[in-house]
Amino acid sequence: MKGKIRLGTKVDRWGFVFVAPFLIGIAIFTLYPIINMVIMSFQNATNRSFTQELRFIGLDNYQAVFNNETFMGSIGTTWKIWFMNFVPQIGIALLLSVWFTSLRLRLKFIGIFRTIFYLPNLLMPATVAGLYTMLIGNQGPINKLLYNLGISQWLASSGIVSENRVQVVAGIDGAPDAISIMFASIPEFMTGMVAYIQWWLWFGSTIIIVMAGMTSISVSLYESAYVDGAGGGTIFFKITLPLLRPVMLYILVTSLVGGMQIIDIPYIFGTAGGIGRPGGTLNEFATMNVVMIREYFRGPSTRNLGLAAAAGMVIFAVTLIATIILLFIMRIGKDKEPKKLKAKKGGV
Amino acid sequence: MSGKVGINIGRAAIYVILVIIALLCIMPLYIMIVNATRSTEQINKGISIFPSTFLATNWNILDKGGSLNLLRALGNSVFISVTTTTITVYFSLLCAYAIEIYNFALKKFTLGLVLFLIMIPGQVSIIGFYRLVVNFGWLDSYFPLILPAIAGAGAVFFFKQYLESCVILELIHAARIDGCSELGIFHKIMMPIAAPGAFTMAIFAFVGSWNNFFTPFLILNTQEKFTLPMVIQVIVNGNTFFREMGALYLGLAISIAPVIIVYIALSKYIISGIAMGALKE
Repeated sequence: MKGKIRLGTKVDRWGFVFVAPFLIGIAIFTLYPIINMVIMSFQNATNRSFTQELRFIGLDNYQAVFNNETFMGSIGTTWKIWFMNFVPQIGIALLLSVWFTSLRLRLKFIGIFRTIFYLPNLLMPATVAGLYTMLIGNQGPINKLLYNLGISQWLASSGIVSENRVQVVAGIDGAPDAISIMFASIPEFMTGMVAYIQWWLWFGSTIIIVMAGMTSISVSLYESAYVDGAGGGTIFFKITLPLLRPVMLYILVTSLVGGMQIIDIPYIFGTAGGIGRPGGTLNEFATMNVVMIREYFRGPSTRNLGLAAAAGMVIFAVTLIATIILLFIMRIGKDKEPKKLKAKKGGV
Repeated sequence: MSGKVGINIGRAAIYVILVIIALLCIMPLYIMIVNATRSTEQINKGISIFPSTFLATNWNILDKGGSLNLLRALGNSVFISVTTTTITVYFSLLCAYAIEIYNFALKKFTLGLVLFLIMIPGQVSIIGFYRLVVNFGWLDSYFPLILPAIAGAGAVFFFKQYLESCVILELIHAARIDGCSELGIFHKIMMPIAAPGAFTMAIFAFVGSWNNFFTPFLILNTQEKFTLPMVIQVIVNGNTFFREMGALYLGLAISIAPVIIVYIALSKYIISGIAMGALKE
C-alpha cells in the first residue's frame, strides 16, 4: 500500500527537517560521549573539572584497570548476579505463560495476576533498594517473622549462620533475649539479595513479552499437534519454544545488555544503613559500574576520570562481546529449525 | 471423569503458586505503606498488617529532619520528568513520522541507527557524558537530564511500530492538496491519530525519568536541586533518620506512591505498551 502514492521530492525534503533534531541529538548526546570516553581512556584526566592539561599516556589507564583486583572481580560478580536473576526469570516466565495461555486450564484472573506481577518493574530502584535494606535489617520485619517462626533460633543453633552473624535484639515481640540475623553482613546472602531484587523487578515484564509471543502463535498449530497425539511437553518443546525464538532473543539480549549495566540496587545497598562498612562485604556484590563509580569517579583518593573511562571501555567491551556471542549461538540454533515452522512465523 | 478431577487439582495448585508470587510482589509494598503509618516503637515491636495512626507524626519527623526537603525534591522530579516526557514524545513521534512517510536519502540510515542504538544503553558512555556536561558548563544543572530526551532511540522505534498500523496516507495527501503545511499535517492530523500510542509512550518516558537515579546523582551537587531518588538514597544512607523507622518508611512510600497510583489507573495501557514495544521486529 505504501509508496504507491508519489509524494514528489519537494515534500520529501521535510523528512530531513523532521529527523534532524533526532540525528543532532544522537550526535551530541550519544556519539560525542562515546568519543570522549575513548579519548579519555588514554589520557591522564585525574581531575574532575578538567582544568589540568590532558596528556596522552598510552595504555597506562588500561593497565591500572586490569591490575585492579576489585574491578576485575566485579566482572565475574556482574555475570553471577545476571545469571542468578535471569535463569529463574525466563523459567518462571515460560511456565506462567504456558499456564496463562493454556486452553486446557482456562485460568481466571489472568489480567489481575499479570498486573500485579508487573508492578515492581515501575518502582524506583533507589526506593526498592532502600525498602529491602529495611526489610532485612536487624530490627526489620523479615527478622521478626523468622524469629516468631523459630527459624532464626534454628539457623543459629544448627550453625548454618555462624555465631558472629547473630545479634541479640531485645524487643522482638517483647522477648528480652530475641535474636536476629545480621543478613547485611553475610556476603553470599547480599549477592543473592541483589539477584533476587533484579528478578523481582523484571520477571513481570518478561512474562508479558513471552505471553504476547505465545498468543501470536497460531492456535491451529496446537490443535493439529494435539490431534496427532502430541503431549504437553512435546508441544512445548517442538512448537512453542522454536516459534518463540525471536521473542527469546529479544529478552536475552535486552536482559544481558541491561544486566551488565546494573548499578542502582548494589550501589545503594553498598551505602545504605552501614551495610558493608565494617565487615567488608561491599565488594561481594559490587557490579562493574558500581566499582567504576566508587573507585574511580567518586573515590576521594583515587578520583581519576581517565581510569573511569578505561573501566567504562572494559564494561562496553564485555557487553558487546557477550551480545555477539549470544547472537552467534542463537543463529547456530536457527539452522536446525524445521523449515515448515519457519514459514508460519511471520506474525511474531 | 478422573481427568477432570486431575485438571481441577492442577488448577488449584497453580492458583496457590500464583498467589504466592503475587504476595512476593505486594507484601514488601504493603508492609512499607502500613509501617509508614506506625510509630517507630510499634514497628520495632513486631509486624502488623493493620495501619496505625502515626502518619502525621512520621511526616513531621521527616519534614523537620535536617536540610533535606522531600517536597522540594518531589517538585524537582515532577519538573524534570514532565519536560523530559514532553520532549521525548514530541521529537520521537516527529522522527518516526518522517521515517514512515517520506522518502529521503537519510531514511534508511536513520532507521538503521535507531535499531542499532536501542541495543546500547546510555549508561555505557556515562563517563564521556560527564565530560560533555563539564565542557558545556552544565554541571549542577537540569539541561543534561532533560535535553538528551530529543534523541530517544527506543521511543522512535516504538512510534515507528505504532505508526505502521495507523498512518493513513490518503488523509495526509488530501490535507496537502488543501494547502496544509507539512508541519501542520503532523500537528493537526498525525498527532491526534497517534494520541493513544503517544500516551502509552509518555507513561514509560515519565517513569523512566522519574526513577532515574544514576545520571542526576553524578551531575547534581546542590541539595536544593536534588531529585527524589537522590534524596531517598541520602535518607536510606542513614545519617539523619536511622532510628526513625516510621519516618523512613514514609519517605520511601512517598517516592513510589505516585507511580503506584498512576499504575492502578492506567495499567491496561502500560501492559499493552510493553508487548507492543518488544514484538514485531
